[in-house]
Order: sequence, then structure tokens, then C-alpha cells
Amino acid sequence: MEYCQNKYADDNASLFVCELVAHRKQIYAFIMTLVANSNDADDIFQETASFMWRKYPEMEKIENFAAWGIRIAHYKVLEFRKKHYNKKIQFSDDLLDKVIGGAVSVNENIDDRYVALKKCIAKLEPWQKKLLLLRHQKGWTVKSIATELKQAEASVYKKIPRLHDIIARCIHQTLRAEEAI
Amino acid sequence: MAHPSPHEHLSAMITELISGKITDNRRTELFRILEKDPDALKYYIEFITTWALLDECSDELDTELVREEFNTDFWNALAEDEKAAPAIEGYKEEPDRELITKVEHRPTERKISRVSVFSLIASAAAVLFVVIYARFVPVPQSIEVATLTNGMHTKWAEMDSLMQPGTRLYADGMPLLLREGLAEVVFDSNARMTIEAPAEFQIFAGDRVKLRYGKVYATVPQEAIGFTVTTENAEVIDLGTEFGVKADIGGDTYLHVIDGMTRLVTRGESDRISVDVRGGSAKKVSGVTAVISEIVCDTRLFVRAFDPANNITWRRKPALDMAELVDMGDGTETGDALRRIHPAKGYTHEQNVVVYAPRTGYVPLEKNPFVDGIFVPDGRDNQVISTRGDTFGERPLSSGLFYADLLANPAPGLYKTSLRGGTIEFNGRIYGQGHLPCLVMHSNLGVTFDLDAIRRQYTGSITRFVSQIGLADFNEPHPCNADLWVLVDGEVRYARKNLREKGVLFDVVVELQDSNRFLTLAVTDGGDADNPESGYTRAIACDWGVFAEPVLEIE
Repeated sequence: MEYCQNKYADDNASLFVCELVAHRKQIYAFIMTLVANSNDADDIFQETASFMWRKYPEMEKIENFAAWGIRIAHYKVLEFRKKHYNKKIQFSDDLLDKVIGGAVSVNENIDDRYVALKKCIAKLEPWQKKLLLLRHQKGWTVKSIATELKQAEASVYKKIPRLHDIIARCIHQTLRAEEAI
Repeated sequence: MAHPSPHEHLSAMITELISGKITDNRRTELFRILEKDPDALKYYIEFITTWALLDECSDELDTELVREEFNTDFWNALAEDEKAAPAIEGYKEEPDRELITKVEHRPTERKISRVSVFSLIASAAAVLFVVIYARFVPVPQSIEVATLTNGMHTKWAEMDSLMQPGTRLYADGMPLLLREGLAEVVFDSNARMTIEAPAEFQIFAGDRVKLRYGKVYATVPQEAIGFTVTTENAEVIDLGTEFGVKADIGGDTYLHVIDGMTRLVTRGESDRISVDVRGGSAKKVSGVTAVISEIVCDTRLFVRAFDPANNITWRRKPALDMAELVDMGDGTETGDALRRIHPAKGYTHEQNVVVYAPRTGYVPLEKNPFVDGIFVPDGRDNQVISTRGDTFGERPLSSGLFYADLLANPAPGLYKTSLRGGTIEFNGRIYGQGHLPCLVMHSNLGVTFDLDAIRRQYTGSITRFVSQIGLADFNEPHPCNADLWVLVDGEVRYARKNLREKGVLFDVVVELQDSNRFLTLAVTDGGDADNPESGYTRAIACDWGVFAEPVLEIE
């Protein structure tokens, strides 16, 4: 990323952190797609970042930081699967192949997707934004939200996927509209 | 209020999956849907990606309203929304008690915030300790050293989308597992490897590969001498060669050296043994004892090259069979061996009638894209020998008569008469249909191949024409005398003149460039006197020219 290169050309550690922050969403989104569990994704992302940091000084030149990170993340996911392999809770090898193919494809325009997401969030009702904030930013579990507000978990459970579906459709429409321009 | 979407059911299951709340049955159902329905898979991937991106949207979500404590207005709004919302199909509301008891919570909150830049810096800082420690421990280089250049029917273990032709490979020791098909890797040093599945290998350096199991064929040019393939129990160091290494999962290593020399070093527990292995030799290293034993060199054990566009593999040096090209095939043993080329009629199934006919001019062969045309060398100056107008670079001695059709791979015994045997045989080896390939060109006959058309069909450069030439011995009671020619764009590149020996083959190698267009093969009668009194007194008598195993080598 030129911004990072220009700002931290002489400071390897800062340059690495800058690049990692800038490309975190690509790498994390890729991991998340493969494991579909945020706690596991967190662990794998940390291992990926660790490994990238170890290898970083040896890399002569990294043309595409995100692609490099995704490649390492992929191996880390494979290692994770080997350690925790449980047929019931993990994708089969064939399904994982398909997911990887799709994830790489979606990742290619993730910046556009991110911009579209922000536009879609802006269109949400305040209560919808609040629910997302509690769930995603503050890390409240559904049970915590439901318990706090004396609501049935089932009710909160229904809200979240519906909200995500609304966002997904909005992103899809936004991207299509921008392609048509 | 948003209208219900067809994906709400899917959305609910995905949310449950991410939250760790999904039941086994629902998970099985979800995975089944994702396997079968590409749209659902796409939706899943986009959904999860969005979920992950929401972590980056703190500014957008952190509105004034959000900072307030919860109030009933918030939930009233939710309740109103709930009343108007359709049910999510398939979702069964479980009683609170059951939900509470079955919830699988991790005992702690998420370990580190996924959002904060500070947490990322903390992570990076935390691993500095690892870095400081790691600097005292040698680590393999992680630089780009090779390119995955080609693949045929490949299936990489869980990596298909990341392993496409053009992908650069690192010397990072990562295991690369080829489940199916063939792959070609070219190192920056120009060493080339063809990998045959199933195989697992690791690249440790620009000149060092470890083969855990599978087959690898390496072609190592001079500048890459020292290229090394290791297995569990052996090391093969190239000394300028082509070699194949096969590693069994059981631990045995097989080295077949096709050309040049390698050094084989065993990696036994007590001592290392080193032997040089030359081209044409093969060794086996036991996975149990590390003992080296001699085995037969199998030159066809390894795929050396492949052409995915034409679905061809070569277990010897890549080359196109020119006899097959004449047969209206594509050089890969698929053509019809009964076709003949008459110098006046072109392709025909008719049996040739001997006419001792005079010259007919250049006859283009439009039916065969690889064969430009056929002609009877007439001994005149500047005879045209291609559709482009190239002329015979030297005036051959020729009566201008022709005797027999050009035939590729004739069946043994085809030419038999009461006066002659009919099988093409040299040094005890039979040529023709079902045997070694050949082109039979009785004087006076010439055929021109269109190298550009052949190049268009196949990837790579045509580097050489290689063949053996001679005159077949049918035990006829008359001597022979013929000139055999190879021309490139009309220029004579090879000529064996006044060949009077029957049943003897001579090697021919003609180097070719990408700029060369036409390759012509011709047999003329050596300028013998022509006496029509009998067949055996004609100028062309007994001049059964044969191009044995004629090939175009390609790279």
C-alpha cells in the first residue's frame, strides 16, 4: 500500500503494522469464510499475523500484502482443521474447495464491498444500527442482549439474521448500481 | 420494513453457525445446501464477508443514539417490527429454559478485540518476542523462487483456486499436495519439474525441493546444476541432466537418470553413501535399510511434458510423429493408416497403379492442414515445392517419373509381389502399421510440411527434425541408387546422395527455428539412366526411400 510505504519506509515494524491494519479486513474475512466462527477466526488471524511478522523481514518485496496474508491464512486454516478436525462441525474437503474459490473471488472486490456496506449502514434505522453495534462492536452475546432487555432469545435471534439479510441485499444492489455507472 | 427474502432461512442458519448455536441437524442441512446450491454458497460467502467487515464499521455504528442506555423505545420499535415480520421458515422457537441449558458459551469473552488498531499493534508487539527468539534460529528463506507454469486435470488439496498457471511459489517449505493431474513448475534458475499426482512436495530453496511422495521429472539446464531433490531417505543432486525421482509413501526412493549425471546420497541413520548415477541407469534406495540397489532404468516411467490444450502427455522427449501427421492424424497416433497421397490426385484410398508417370507440378493438399503439398521432383531448375512458391534449392538429378504413392505406416507385406518382399525392415526392426512409424517415398517424390500450421496446433517451439533415412530392402534382384533430401524453406539442409545400400539407416538431424515455415522431404532417383524395357531398368527402380521414425521435436 503506497500510503504505508511512503509513511514508514524506514521503519519496518510500523510499516508492517500499517499494512496489516490496511489489509486486515481481506485476511480476516477470508478466514472467517472458511471457519464460520468468530472465535476460531480470531485465533487463526492471530497465528497468521504472527507468522507474517516472522517472515516479513525475509521477504524481498511483497507485491500484494493481502494476497500474501491470505495465502498464509489459508495454510493456518488447514493446520487448524487438522488439529480440530471433526467431521460434524467442519466443511468437507470438497465444500472447503468451493468456499475457498468463492472467498477468493469475493475478496477481490472487498474494498468496494466495504464502501457499499458503509452506505447501507447509513440507511439503517437507529435501532438496527444499535443492534449491530451491540452484537459486533461491544461483543454482546444474543443471550446477554436478551437477558438485559428481558426479551426472548428467540426474538433477538430472529432480528439479527433478518438484519444481515437486509444488509446483504442492500450491498448487492449498491454494487450492481455502481457497476452500471 | 423490508420484504422477506428467499434467503432469510439461510441467513438464520448462517447466523446460528457463526454464533456456535447451530444444532447438528441444522448444520448438516446448511452444509448440504451449500454443497448443492451455488447461489446459496455465494450468499453464504458474501454474508460471512459482510459479517467480518462489520467489525471495521465502528464509526458508522457508533452513533449518538447508541451511546444511550437501553430504553423501552428501542424495544418497542423492535416489537413493532416483529409483529409485521413474516416467520422465518424452518426456525423453531425453543423454550427459554431449553435455550438456556443448551447454550454453548465459551467461558470468556473474545480474547482480543478484533477492531482496535491498538489491539493489532499489541499483537504485533507481542510477537516481537518471538521474532527476537526466532532470529537465533535459522529459518528458511521465504522468497519467490519458482512459477507454476502449467497444469493438466489438476486438483490441488484444498488449494485449487490459489494454484493457477502463473502463480509464483515461495521457498517457504509449505507442503504442496497435488491430488490429481500433472503440474509443471519452472524455477527462476530455469530448472523445470513435472509433477505427477498423487504427490506432495515442498520447496525449500530455489534449487532444493523435497518430495514426500509421488513422481517428479526434472530437467536441469547447465546454469542450474546442483538442483537437488530430496526424499525421506535420499538426496539427488543434479550434475547437468534429466532425471526422474519417485518416492513411495512406504519410504522407498527410485531414481531414473535419463540423460547426464546425478549424485545420489543416502540419508541413513549412521552414515551417508554417495554414488554417481549416469544417464540410462537407475537406482533404488530402500526406505527401511537405506541400501542402494541397481534397477532397470525405465525411460517411460515419468511424464516429461504435457500439453493441456491438446490433452497430450509425453513420457519421452516431446515430439510429433510426422508419419501420423501425414495420416491426417495430429501426430499422436490417432490418424487413419490407410490413407495414401497420390502426387497428382492428393489423398486417396485407391490402390496405386504403377504408371511411371511424368512430372505433375506441385499439388497442394488442402485436406490436411499440416501437409502443405506433394510433388514429383522433376530435375528442373527452380521447381516449386511449397504453396508459398519456395523452390528446390538445388537442382536434383531426376527422371521426373514417379512410381508409388507416398504412404505413411504401410502394413507389413503391403508391397509384396512375386518379385519382392513387402515389409519395411531395418536391422531386424519392422516399420509400418502396428510397428515403428515411417514414411515410404519411392523416387521420385517430395512432400512439404507446413510448420506454421503445426505450431498453431501445439504450444511450444519446433526445435528439430529428427529421423533415420534409408532404402528398404525387398530382396529385389536389382541395385538401387537414390538421393534423399531434407529442405527447409527450399534450402537444402541435408542430402545423402547416391545411396546404393539397401537396408541401412542413417541419422538425420536438422535444427529448426521459429521463422522456418516449410519442411520438405524428398527422394530422387540419383540421375540413373531410364530404360523403359522393363521395370527394373527404369531410372527409379528399387529406390524405396524410407524416413524411419520421423519426428519434429518440440519444446
